Amino acid sequence: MLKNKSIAVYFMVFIFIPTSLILLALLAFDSLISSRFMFKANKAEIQSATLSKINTIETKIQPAKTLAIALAEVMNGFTSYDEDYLDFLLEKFVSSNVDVVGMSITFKPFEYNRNTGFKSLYCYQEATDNGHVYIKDRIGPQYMFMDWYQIPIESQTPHWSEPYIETRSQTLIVTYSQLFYKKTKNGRQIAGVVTADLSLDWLANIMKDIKITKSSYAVLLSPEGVFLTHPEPDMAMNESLFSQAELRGDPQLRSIAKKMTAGETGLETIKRDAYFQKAQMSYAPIALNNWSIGILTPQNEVFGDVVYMFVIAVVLTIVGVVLLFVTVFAVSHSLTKPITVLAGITKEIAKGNLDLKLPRLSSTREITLLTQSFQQMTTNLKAHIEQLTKTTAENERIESELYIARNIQQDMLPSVFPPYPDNPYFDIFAAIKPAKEVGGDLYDFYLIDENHLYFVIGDVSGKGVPASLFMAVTKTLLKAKSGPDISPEKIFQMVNDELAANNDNSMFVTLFLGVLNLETGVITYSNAGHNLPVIITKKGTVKFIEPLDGLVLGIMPGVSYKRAMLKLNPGDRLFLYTDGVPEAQSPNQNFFGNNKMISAIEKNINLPSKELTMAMLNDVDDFSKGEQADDITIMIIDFMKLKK
Amino acid sequence: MFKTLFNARFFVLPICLAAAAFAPLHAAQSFVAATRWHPQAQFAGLYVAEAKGFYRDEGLTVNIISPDIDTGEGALLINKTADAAVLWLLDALKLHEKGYALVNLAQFNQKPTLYFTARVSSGIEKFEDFNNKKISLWQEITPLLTEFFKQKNINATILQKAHRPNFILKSIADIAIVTYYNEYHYLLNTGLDPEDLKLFYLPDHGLSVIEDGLYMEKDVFNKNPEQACRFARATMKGWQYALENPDEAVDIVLNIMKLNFIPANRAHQSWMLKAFMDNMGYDTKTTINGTLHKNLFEESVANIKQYAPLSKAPSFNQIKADCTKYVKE
Repeated sequence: MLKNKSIAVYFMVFIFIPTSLILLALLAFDSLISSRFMFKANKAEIQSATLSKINTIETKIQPAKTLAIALAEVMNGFTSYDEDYLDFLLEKFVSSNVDVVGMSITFKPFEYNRNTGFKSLYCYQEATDNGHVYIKDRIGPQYMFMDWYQIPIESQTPHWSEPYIETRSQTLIVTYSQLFYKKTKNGRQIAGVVTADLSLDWLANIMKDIKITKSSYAVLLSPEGVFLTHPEPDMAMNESLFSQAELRGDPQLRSIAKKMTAGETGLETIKRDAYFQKAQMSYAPIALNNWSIGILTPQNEVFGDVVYMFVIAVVLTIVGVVLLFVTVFAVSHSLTKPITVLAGITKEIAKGNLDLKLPRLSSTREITLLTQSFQQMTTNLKAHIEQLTKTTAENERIESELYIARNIQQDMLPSVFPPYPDNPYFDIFAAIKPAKEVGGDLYDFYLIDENHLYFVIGDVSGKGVPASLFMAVTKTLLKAKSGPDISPEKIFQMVNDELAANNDNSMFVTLFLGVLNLETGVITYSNAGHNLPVIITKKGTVKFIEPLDGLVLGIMPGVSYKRAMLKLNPGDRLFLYTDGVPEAQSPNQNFFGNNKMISAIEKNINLPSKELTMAMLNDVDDFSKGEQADDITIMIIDFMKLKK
Repeated sequence: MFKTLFNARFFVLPICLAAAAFAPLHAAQSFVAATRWHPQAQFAGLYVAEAKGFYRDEGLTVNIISPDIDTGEGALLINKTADAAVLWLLDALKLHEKGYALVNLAQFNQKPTLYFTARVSSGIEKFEDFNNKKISLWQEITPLLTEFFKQKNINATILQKAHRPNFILKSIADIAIVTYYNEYHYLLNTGLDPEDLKLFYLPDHGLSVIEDGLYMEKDVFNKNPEQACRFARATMKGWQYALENPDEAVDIVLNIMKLNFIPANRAHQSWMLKAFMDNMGYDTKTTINGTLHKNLFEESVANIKQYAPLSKAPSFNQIKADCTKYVKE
């Protein structure tokens, strides 16, 4: 799927996307860790603040309990009671602590004395300009139905009341009731309660300065869940956490209220608060009197820093990602642009436009190298093509000239076979297979007169055009110098003088020249360094003729030659050839050799001359595996019958 | 009755109208009405009528006062401090026993709201389980219920409270008497869920007595029955308005309570208003007309008679003030 897309796409997929993902993952991880950390830190801070407040409150509240217990202890010691003394005691106790604003000694019916059904002594403090004064008072019999009396008496345990607002002083008060006893015969019995009223006017201030975060606040709940303090003054003593939960239809808040009034400790996230959307509510009991502290911290402030950091991080990430995108895009573009340019140029070059100058593409080192290489390649290509064009033109020129030369040369050599189809006395077949298009081998024959056949075969030194030119000259000279009654050696002599005279290149030619007397079958011949012909008798023998040496033609003038004679019987053939046959080389540099030649002739002896020649040529070709180093010429003279 | 969290004397702040600017051309007649308890949604009809000017429309300048914690029910009426008072039928009958003749100007409550309640955790499941338990009751109903339990063969310890039924919170008592509109909800708002409380409806156990009504001393009524009936009519209009505008009614009540330094919250007062008004309809909930129904009256009297001596109980015609003679409804 990703094949053949732009580099930019690859960059995007393999660099940009993974990097972005990593960045995002880091971001997510970081915020997670940070928020966890903040949460923990916040929780710790809340808990420590809560504990500290609890301590403070307990310390402030404790005196009421202490004093009531102390006074009850004193009361426990009495077997009878003196009203004045009790008043005195009450004043002493009340005046000992400024927060304890009133105390009472309240008797169960008839416990004060047998005649008195109800007795409740009270002393309370009042502030004046000169400090506090202490007022003696009595509580009427309705105390029988007051919680501070009824509950400890019925439950027989000490009791902290629900805080309330005392009408006389309009102060928030909580009352501690401690039972006191009278000794009896059997032990002791409850005689009444000692109560201490504690003013709670310091409470709001203490609760106010709980500040974990900017908007956090604390509330204090009574044993029944009523707000003792609340940042909203109207809520205190009017609302309870339960009534708030009911008003807001929030079951979670109700459950928290239950937990708090049950004295549990906890930390919960509440969804909706009067002031903010989400808040952490931490709560813990004040064990001393079953109150409960709750601290609300708005979530966004707890995580405010985290959110802030997160926002910054997100912004940075986005900026980073955008930068990355832009960079990747720019880089990929800067890479692909020169490549695209190069690609375009290459197209042009491919069209053959080699003169294009490659632009200077300032880019990466690799691109620069590539551009340079391209330039180099183009230059080289151009030069090479020019050279090739030149050579090809040259070759083509030579080719065409050679082709023409070949044709001319071929036309020089007799090529029509059989040459004398009507002549019953002899037949000739010759074939020349030049090494290159023009060769150095020659053959020729003609009837000097009606009884004499002139034939010659020869091989010029070298190959190619020089050899063929020399061959042409030689053939022409030979024919020119031949004639009736001119002996072969005489022809050689004359031709040699001619050749040697103008032979600057030291070329030479081997020749075998013979004249066949048709009436006798005698061949008068001369040999100038040429391969000895082979007689193929009618009977089927194949043998070389008698050797006759003589210098090759063309070396130097004034050379004399010898003459010899052989006789052909009717049906005999004379096999003439150039050294291209015996000196044909096989790929492993073995020569064809005379023996092989003889064997080949013998093998094909029954074939007519043309076919024999062709067979011989095939054999040589097979032997040399097509690698022809030299011209190969074969000429066979068929002496058929004597002329009478 | 649910009392506040006070233990000292209840400070009464009378509500006075600054009526001068709004008074009709003839001088408004002054009228004092007393509630049965401190201001709360139980008496919303009166407060709404005053706040919305229904009394003023009737040419009355009404001052609504409340008894303090020590004042007995009906005391303000018989000591002439109040012209009319909201009382239970039980209170009215008690006063009759003492020699005071009262008339019923309007009957608010048509269906009793009294329950005994016990915590489910106490294991009390049926009425018979009340035996040998501690029951917390209010002072004014103690004699009646003591006899009631005795006749039902329930041997229980009675604890009298003037206050909220927190005894059952502290397991000091196992059972408490509650009104549905007040103390029951108070218990719910201490963290008890409805499933934590078992309710025993008093009428199911043979004590069906209608409660809140508007009463006057007979002779005071006879002095100016037309005025009294106008007062009653305006008061019922106040109740009707509260029925149609409960949130506003609660606002009015909360405001009064705040002025009197009585702890109050919307949740409780809203519950109280709704629950109280739910019991004001005789046949359908939407009908609040303050009629004292003969059958309900006679049934209540008969029920009470079982457990308390009523030698001077009035007849229906004696107690019912016939306002049709004086004003249109």
